[in-house]
Amino acid sequence: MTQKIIELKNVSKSFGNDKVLHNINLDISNGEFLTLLGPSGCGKTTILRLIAGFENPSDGEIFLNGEKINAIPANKRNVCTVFQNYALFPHMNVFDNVAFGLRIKNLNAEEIKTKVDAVLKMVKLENFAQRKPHQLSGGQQQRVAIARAVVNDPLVLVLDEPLSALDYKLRKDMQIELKELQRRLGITFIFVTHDQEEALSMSDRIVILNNGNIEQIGSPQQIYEMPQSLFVAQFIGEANVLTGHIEEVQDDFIKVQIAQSCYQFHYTHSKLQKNDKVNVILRPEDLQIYLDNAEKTHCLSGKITNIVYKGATVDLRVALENDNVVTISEFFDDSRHQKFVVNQTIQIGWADGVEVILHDT
Amino acid sequence: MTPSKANWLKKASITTISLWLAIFVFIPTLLVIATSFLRVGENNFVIFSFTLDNYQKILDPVFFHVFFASCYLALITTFVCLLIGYPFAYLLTQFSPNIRRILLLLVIIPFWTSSLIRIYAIKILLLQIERSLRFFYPDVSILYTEMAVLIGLIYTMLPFMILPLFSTMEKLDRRLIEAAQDLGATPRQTFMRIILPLTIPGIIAGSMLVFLPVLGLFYVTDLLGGAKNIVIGNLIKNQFLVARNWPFASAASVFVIILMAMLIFVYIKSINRFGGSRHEKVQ
Ligand SMILES: Nc1ncnc2c1ncn2[C@@H]1O[C@H](COP(=O)(O)OP(=O)(O)OP(=O)(O)O)[C@@H](O)[C@H]1O
Ligand SMILES: [Mg+2]
Repeated sequence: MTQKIIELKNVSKSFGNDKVLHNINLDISNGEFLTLLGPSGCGKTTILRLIAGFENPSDGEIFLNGEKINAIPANKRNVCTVFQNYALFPHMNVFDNVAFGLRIKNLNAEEIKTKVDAVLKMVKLENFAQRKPHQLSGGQQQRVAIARAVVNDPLVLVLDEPLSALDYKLRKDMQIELKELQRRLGITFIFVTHDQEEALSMSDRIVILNNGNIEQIGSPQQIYEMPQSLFVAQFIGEANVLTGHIEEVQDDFIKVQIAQSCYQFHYTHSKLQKNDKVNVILRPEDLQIYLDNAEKTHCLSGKITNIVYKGATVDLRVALENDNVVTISEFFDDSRHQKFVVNQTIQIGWADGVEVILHDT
Repeated sequence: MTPSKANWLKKASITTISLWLAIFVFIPTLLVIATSFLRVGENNFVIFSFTLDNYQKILDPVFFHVFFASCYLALITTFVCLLIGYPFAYLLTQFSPNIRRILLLLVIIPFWTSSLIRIYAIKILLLQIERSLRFFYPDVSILYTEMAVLIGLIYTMLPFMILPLFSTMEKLDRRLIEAAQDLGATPRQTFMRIILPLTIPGIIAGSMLVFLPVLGLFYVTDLLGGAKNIVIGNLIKNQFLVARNWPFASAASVFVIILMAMLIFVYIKSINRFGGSRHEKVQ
């Protein structure tokens, strides 16, 4: 079992009468890359600021390395922040920016130089040490901000949307670099992003937040393949949601009535009962289309309303008999897809077990 | 507003301002510069013959004494204004924007009354204080002392220190302060290494706005100092209006103008150097 580096226990935060975090419980393991993901205003930044020490929790306890840190000010916590807009000191050059924390600790000049040079080399900025922040590109400023934080050997690094100001290509590169850096340093990263793709590709675990509540915590795969709520399913990736109700519950399967048809799904949890309303979640890439009903157990029929070519994949929009629209994403195959045209009636099928069935509350 | 109308307005206002500056600043300054190279005439005006005597006279110890004395007075005033104004401006930025606006208005309101009248008010106030104090300390004197002059100068100039300081502090990115704390800096270290360096443009601007006018604020020293402590402004005024030595008064004025120009030059240079948060790239 890995050691817990940060624990939030029943942490709540209010600004005036506005409660923005509700009883957050979160354990973060040492060396983990944890991502906070959620819509704007859900409280991601607030959680980071609580951990870094810029805000105090209204309720609950925060532990760093087993020690309660509620009352410890930001400058005494071994947590460093990479700010969203970098917050580099404009009157200092890159070297002085990075050396700031070390100088505060009163290290001698030689030691500072060695450490700063090493870190600047690591972020490939060794030739920019004498530049002022305004003489750097966005991506370079970003690296300085990271270097300025990691040079202090923090126990935890919190990063608030560090890549959001970068363009698409640079962002992709930085994602890989950041992940590699984290692996090399072994520092715990708490990372905030808006971008679900970024979250899925970088994180060890993802925390999905909504309105100041944790919706789900899990590995990227768990979050994507086993969403525990409709919110998570729809927030991460694209989801086709089919609504229906339970016709029959057996030991290892259930039957769900969707529109005019009844479907049998493998299901062993005991949470569902006859007549419960459910949402069946199907990812677009888990669906296939067929020209005829090829003896599939799971089949929906509908009419193609739109075909969108996306290079490697093709998205087909299909209106079902009950007027629900589902999206199907398949790898593009010229010989296969030229057979399909708009307004054609087709069948949609999927493999057993790819569906997620959620109780509709 | 239609573009042509806006254009017309723009042209009209630029023309008005240009004319205003030409008539009341540029031409008078040229006249002063020209006069400074002329001789005093018998009928108290000028004789049109070129001379550098007036500038030689500036090197006279008497003149230099006045010059240093007023620089000294201006320096102390600037220093005290900075000492009061800096924490004051910082405090202002700590309030919510609405309260800030009200407090800022309170700083500006005294400008609605002529500063000459306000100095008379201060004079009366100091007189009353002096009288009351004399019940207990018969020897105390406040009015017509250097202290009274300083009080008057500081009172008059303080807003000029507060306003530029406030505007640089307001622009200071709070996240820089948080970043410094995050890297372990104590409040004192944060102040010395981040806040102070980044507010230097405001400190310089405020100091200029206080230091330079004090050199010319003759009525404060006249009214509160009883003409004992004089600034260059008194000397120039006296030379123009009492001694009627226009050429020498002009030379002294030119001297002060050059001094101010040099200080402003230094100011602009230092602003560029301490560029502060202005340089931050907006993404
Ligand atoms: N200092 C504050 N005073 C009052 N309300 C605040 C303050 N800081 C944050 N809030 C509120 O708390 C809520 C959560 O804010 P937070 O900044 O944590 O959101 P976020 O998840 O980081 O959003 P975004 O993705 O837009 O950055 C918001 O409703 C916000 O308005
Ligand atoms: Mg945020």
